[in-house]
Amino acid sequence: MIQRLDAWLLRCNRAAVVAMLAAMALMVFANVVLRFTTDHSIFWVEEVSRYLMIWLTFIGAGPVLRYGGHIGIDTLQERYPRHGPWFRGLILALLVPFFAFMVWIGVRYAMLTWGQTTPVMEIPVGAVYLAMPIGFALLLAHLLLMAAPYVRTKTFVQDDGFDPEAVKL
Amino acid sequence: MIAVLFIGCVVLLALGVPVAFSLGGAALAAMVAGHLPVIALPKYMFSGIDVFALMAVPFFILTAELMTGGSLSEVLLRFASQFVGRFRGGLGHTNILTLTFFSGISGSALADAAGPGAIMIRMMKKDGYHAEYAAALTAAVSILGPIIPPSISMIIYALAYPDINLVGLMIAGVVPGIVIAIAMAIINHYVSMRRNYRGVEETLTLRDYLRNTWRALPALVLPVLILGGIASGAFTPTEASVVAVFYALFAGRVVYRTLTWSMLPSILARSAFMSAAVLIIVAMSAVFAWVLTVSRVPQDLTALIVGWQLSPLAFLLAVNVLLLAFGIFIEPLPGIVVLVPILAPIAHALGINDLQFGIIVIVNLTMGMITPPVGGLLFVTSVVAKVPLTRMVKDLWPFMWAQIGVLALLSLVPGLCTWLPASFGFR
Repeated sequence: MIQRLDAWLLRCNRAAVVAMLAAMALMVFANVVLRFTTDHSIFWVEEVSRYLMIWLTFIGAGPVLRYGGHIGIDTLQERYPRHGPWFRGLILALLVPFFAFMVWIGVRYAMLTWGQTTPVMEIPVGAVYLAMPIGFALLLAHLLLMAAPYVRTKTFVQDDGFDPEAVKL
Repeated sequence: MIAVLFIGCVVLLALGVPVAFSLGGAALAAMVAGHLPVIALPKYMFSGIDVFALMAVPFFILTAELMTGGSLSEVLLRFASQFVGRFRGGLGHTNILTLTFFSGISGSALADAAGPGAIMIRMMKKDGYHAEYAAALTAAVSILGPIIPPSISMIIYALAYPDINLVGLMIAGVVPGIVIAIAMAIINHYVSMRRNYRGVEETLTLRDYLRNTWRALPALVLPVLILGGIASGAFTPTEASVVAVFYALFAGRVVYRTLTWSMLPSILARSAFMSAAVLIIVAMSAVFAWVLTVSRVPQDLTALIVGWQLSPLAFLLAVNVLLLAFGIFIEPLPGIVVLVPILAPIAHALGINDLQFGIIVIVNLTMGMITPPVGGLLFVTSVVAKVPLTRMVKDLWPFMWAQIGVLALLSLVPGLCTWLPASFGFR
């Protein structure tokens, strides 16, 4: 049951970031083409693509955690491999309350800014900022789902071709 | 408050907490300790990534992924080989030239090593080069990715230090990039003489030259399009990045026909995840930087160091040593977001050219990717070459010394970094 839910969550999450990146690229490109051919541009593209990037950042952070793709420094863990589970248990114990706090403060911030509207689209600013609590709730869910294999043996989920090393610039 | 910020950050990083959450967690702890309102945390996080210029990051990542998905590497490789392949150590020189071209398309070092670099390593091994040497050379040359524009490191640098002009910084990377490539070629020449790595023996007719060049032309257009478009002011870096995405898609699908539509979702997913991993660090570091500024660290440190009346050269020397040491443990991106807001204003106050300083910082931190134990480039190339990392180190030393030499040159001769951007009007 949990496994099926987990697979479904990852798949949806992945589909969401694919759609967001594709939409960003298409609309920004359309605007460049329009600027060169007609001297006009779609007025809402800049704002919408910026907000999509914000959503992409927070929604994408969860799966990246699953794949072990967040940049970190493992030197100490590798130096003392026998204490690995102890290190990773501590990391987990620190991250769970941090993520939970970020969900809470994110909800508060979204509520606080709900009354303002964005300059172009005139949607509530808080709706854009909901990306943060939703993203951190996803992070929390992914963290708990990966907890046991991660702490015990530092195992991550594999994705076709996503190389966690590749994030390091 | 500042003690909580720095000690918290160092402890979290050392434990192995991901960099993004170490920065965010330390900033949060410092805010609580300093009685700052915690609602500022989401505020500055959003302001850190609600930046149109930052969109070039996902787009340049996507471009490199699309180009690697197409058969661009082989085409570039054959083009490069016809010029330098026949010399002693020819395949090594081909490797250097191919990666230099590819750096004009990709914005990151890992994209260079994992894309064309991996192909070159296999070819060099088959041709009788030692696997350790092939891996070391590829890792060393891959650092050109973020130095020759486009460059993700430079986009992040311009965010961390808004006084710098991103377009100027990108143009400034060209000459140092070429100098590093030449230095790598000199080392390759000497090693190949000593170990008798032969050149590629093939006789090429004029027809072959023309055909290879014609085949490579669509790929070679891309660096020209990106750099030329940005430098001439026709495109902003963000516009150039999205044009590059669709050009890469066109080249892969229509010209080379190696890219299929079914490959797109996984290319997009990969690029999106890589972008999210980068951008979440940028978001968290914005909060970190805000706490720093509130506690006046950059201002006070600038006043202090300027008070010492250091010569610019002495400061540059100190920065080089500091960054090389830092680079051993930390990846370039976190290095830039944490150190640049502190160091760049000091350098500016001492009269060091912003562009020169930017290039020195980026070269330094990127070199950290080829210094064990946490050299990201070493992991990739050692896996491809199937040699243990420890055996690569011996072959890596000559390249690292050459790069340190280039760093010294860049510090002593500001013109290497400033001349080209100055001729486009960037200072």
